[in-house]
This record gives sequence, structure tokens and C-alpha cells, in this order.
Amino acid sequence: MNRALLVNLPKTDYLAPPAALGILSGICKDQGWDSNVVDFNKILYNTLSEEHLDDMDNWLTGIIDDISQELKDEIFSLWSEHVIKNVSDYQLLCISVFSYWSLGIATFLLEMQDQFINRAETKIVLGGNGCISKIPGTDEIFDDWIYRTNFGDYIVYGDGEPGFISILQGDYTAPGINNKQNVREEDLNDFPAPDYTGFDFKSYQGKKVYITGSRGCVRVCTFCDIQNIWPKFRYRSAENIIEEIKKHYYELGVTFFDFTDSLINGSISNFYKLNCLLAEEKEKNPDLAPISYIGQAIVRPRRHMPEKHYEAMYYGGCKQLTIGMESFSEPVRDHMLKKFSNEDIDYHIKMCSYWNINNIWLMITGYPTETEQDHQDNIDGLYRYAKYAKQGIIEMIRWGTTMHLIEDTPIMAPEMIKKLEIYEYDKSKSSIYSGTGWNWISKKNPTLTLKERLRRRIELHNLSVQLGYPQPRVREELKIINKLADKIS
Amino acid sequence: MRNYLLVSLEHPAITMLRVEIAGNVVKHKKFFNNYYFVAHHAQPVQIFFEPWGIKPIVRFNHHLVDYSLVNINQFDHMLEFTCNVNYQEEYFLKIIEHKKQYFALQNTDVNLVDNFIGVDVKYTDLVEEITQKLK
Repeated sequence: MNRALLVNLPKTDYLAPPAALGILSGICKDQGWDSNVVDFNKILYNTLSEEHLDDMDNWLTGIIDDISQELKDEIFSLWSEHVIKNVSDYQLLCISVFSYWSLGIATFLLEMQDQFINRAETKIVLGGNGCISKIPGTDEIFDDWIYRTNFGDYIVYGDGEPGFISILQGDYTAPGINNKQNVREEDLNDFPAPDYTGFDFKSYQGKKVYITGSRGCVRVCTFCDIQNIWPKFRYRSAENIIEEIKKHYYELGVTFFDFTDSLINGSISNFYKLNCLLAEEKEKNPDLAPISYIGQAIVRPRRHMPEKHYEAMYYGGCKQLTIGMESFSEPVRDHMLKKFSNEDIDYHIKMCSYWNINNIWLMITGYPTETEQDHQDNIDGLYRYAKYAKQGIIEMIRWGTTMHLIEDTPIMAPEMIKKLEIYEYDKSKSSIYSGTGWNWISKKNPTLTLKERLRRRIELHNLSVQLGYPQPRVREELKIINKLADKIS
Repeated sequence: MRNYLLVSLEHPAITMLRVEIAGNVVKHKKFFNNYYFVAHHAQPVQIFFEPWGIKPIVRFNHHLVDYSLVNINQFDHMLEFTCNVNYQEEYFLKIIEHKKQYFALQNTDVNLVDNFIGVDVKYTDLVEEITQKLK
């Protein structure tokens, strides 16, 4: 029987089985292939010391340029044990390269493993957004590196499902395979359902499953690169999503679902239908009552999402929304193209309080157009919404590590760079590699230096603590900020 | 600061509702499926309803509350609690406590509080170190 080994690279979270491996497993099952999964991200998390995990994280996110040989040896030893050792049993070694944060480890492992794998027997398939990202510290895109070095056989672009199905069927020249110009964007309803039966859920933090309701986004926020990955917004029908939810519940007993969508309310009508149908299913089948979900969403005005939509979310089982709030300043959000007002925020959070739907608010400090007044708006916003933090409705707020400019985002487009007169302040002083753009300055807003951005960030941290807003992963963020502060010392 | 809570109950099946505060029946108002009344701080509240066995949604000042986090005792035929206008402080602390218990039950690593709960994150020393560099 044909067999595929499916592997996940860091840096992803440790909360649940990675969605990519679930999707690939489902396709293998659908196509009659046997498969095994290796969540290498989790293996490293379980095995490396805290110090080594920190070093690896800092290396992958570009805070440090390299890791020690000792750590490299340890990582490769684990890779040998969990991947190389039995790889000859598999016709395909499929590696998920989730983002540019995966590329440091991807290039290292692919190069190191090459002498140990018989490529005539085992083909290497790569996929994920990291494949079209620049390798940190270089100007080379990962797929070009693969084609140049020949450390991989096939790269799947665009939707992974049709490309991977073609590979399993032996068609290596189908659209989307080794050709990023010719990718398919198919109906998401046509893809096989993901399969998580090969995972040990006890080894993850919570028994939940990632589920995808849509790809792409209905906004073009200036700091976001999602348009490069999914140019068009596509969504699954509510019925199709519910069938997958029921599948995972009846097969695995999973009752908690985390949507991977950039936004679950991209299609307002479909989202409302999903919630109504979920509520109806729970009424018909009381054993489905514990089913709940979380996901990312955008703030919508009242006229687009009236109260009945929030009511439907409550009865459908929505427990938490992660909102890209970004700033409490309307001018800053207008420049970002977020398209919601302060009044919309007030309405949204009141509805969430009314229907007990928790929020995580993601914020950006130091957007290029952020003035002192905009910063004051952020401070005022913290006071304004503090009572919702006490209620637990604003479950967490994340201020991040200050605005860094990521290539291939709209704000890095030549016309925007020219308009805002953005430049990298002093490349020689920054060991943060170019491409992440931490130490930039805008001549149109010259007082917003890196020093000022960090000052504002610390001020927001202190006020958030004082007002009682829970802030996750702050230690990690403050350590990064501390390293950034070295650049201005 | 207000010394009372606006309490509301919602359930589509309610056919009878009687609210007693400190043993006295109080009037309530109904708008659509919501029943509203006012309770003052420290007053004992009992809400009798029919049919029995339902679990109405309860809101304090338009905030949908979890029964256990606001100490609502639930019976088949009634709910009872003591009105606390400062319920939010205790509400928040209980949420955090339950989250900490959840992760402790999972027996996972010590960074969970920072990673997934986000309290006790003052990090005074680290913040001071950064502040000094920014001077």
C-alpha cells in the first residue's frame, strides 16, 4: 500500500493537532493512501529545554541570526529519530512549511537530511505559505532555494488539496505543482474532510480541532499579507461546515472547534446561517449541545450585524472572537483600511457583553501614521473598555512588539513607501534582518522613531496591567522589545 | 456609583415569573422575552418561574452572567442570589482562578499563566530595564 509521512515544522502553536496535517491525512484517507503524522513542532516543545526553546523561537522569528551547534545537533537528532529513521517505509515525505518563521529550520533540516534519504524511493513534498516567503537574512525565496538546491521534489502552491490529490494520483504536472503561476482556486466544499484519527489528543493542551470555514479576506488591511496567499475570499457552505463538525464529534468526541479563517464573518449571511443551523442541530440532538467554537472576526456595523446575529452566535456556541482591533484611533484605523468606527466598536462590545461572547483584541503600537494624539486615543480606549475586561468579555489584549514592516504587505508597496517616506533607519545598527523592518522611520511622522514606539508600547503595557487587562505572552514580547531597545542604546 | 443592579431574565418558555427581594414581591417589567427588575446591593433575591426545569439567561446591567461566577443558586423552580453591585471584581478573579485550575489539571508547564491567562505580567524588572534603555 502507498504510504505518506506527514510532518509539521515549527513555529506553530501547541494547543491542538496542526490543521495542515489533519487536512493532508484526510486527503490520504480519501485517496486510499496510508499515512502517519509527526508533529515535529510538538516534539521539539516536549523535548528541548526552556532555554533552547527560547533560542529556537528567537532564531525562527529573526531576533537572533543563528543558534548554537549544540542546539542544531539536538534538533537534527530528534529529526533523525522521528523522521529519517523510518522514512524508507514511505513513498512520500510531506512537510508543512507554515510561514516564513518555519524557513530557518526547514532549510537546515532539508540540507542536513539529504544524504540520509534515498530520493529514488521517497519523494519530498513541500507546501504551506512559507514556500513563497523569503528565507530570513537572504533575498532568496524558499521555493527558488528548493529548485536551486534540489532538496525537495515537489512544491504545492495555492490550495494544498487539489495539488496534493494530484500527487497522490501520480500526476506531478498538474496545476499548482512546482508552478506558482498556475494555481487552482477551487470550491472549498469539494475538498475531503480533514482527518485527525492519527493524533494523540492527550499530548495537546486542549481537546480541540482546527476547522476552516473560509480562505482569504474581505478587507485589504495595509499591514497584512493574506492577499498574497489567498487573493479571493471563498467560503464553505454552512451545511458543509456542520457536516465536518459532526464528523469530528462522532469520530473523536471533539466538542471544541477553532476556526483557522482570517475572519469567520466574512460572509455575514453564511455566518448567520451557520449559527442558526448549529443551534437547530443542538436542539434536535441534545448530545451536540456541548459543541462550541472560537475564531477570528472583524467588527461590523450594527446595520450589517444586528443583534439577532449575536444571539445566533450565542446559541450556535460561539465562545470567543479574536478581533484585529489594531488601534483605538479612528484616523489610524482608517489608514489601515479597517473600515469600522469607534461607534461600531462600542456596539460590538456591548453585544458581546449582552450575549457573553469573549473577545481577544489584537493591537498594533506605532503604526507609521500614529501621532501622539492617536497614542492618547489608545490610552483613552483602555480606560473606556476596562469594565469589559473585568467582566471577562475582553478576555485578553495583545499589544505586540510594535509595528514592523513585513515585505509584500500593502504598506510596503512602492507607492506607500514613497507616500509615507519610510526608510530603514540604520541597517548597520540592527541585527534584526532586513525584511522584518523593525527599525524604520517615516519622514512624514519623524518623531515616531523606534525609541518612541517602544516608549509607547511600555506605557500601554503598564496601563493595561494597572487596569486589569489580561495580556498573554507578555514575557516573550517584552524580551523582544528589550532586544529592540538595545538597537537604540 | 449606582447602588443597584438592573437584573434581567430571558427564556422563551417562561409562562410565570415572580420576583421576591428580601421576602417582598417586587414588580418586574417585560420587554419581548426579557423580564427586568432592580435589586439593590446586599439584597437577597429569589426568582420563581414556571415551567420548572428551565435555565433562564440572567443578565446584570445587560451583561450575560455565568451562574456559578455570580453565586446564583439554581433550583428547578427558582433562582436565588444576593445582589452585589461590585460583582465584577469577584467575577474576574473567579474566571482567572478557574483558568489556572484548568491548566493545572492538565499538568502542563509553568509558563501557562503568561502564555494563556495573561495575569501577573507586570515584569517590573524587565520593564525597568527597557525603560532605562529608552532614557
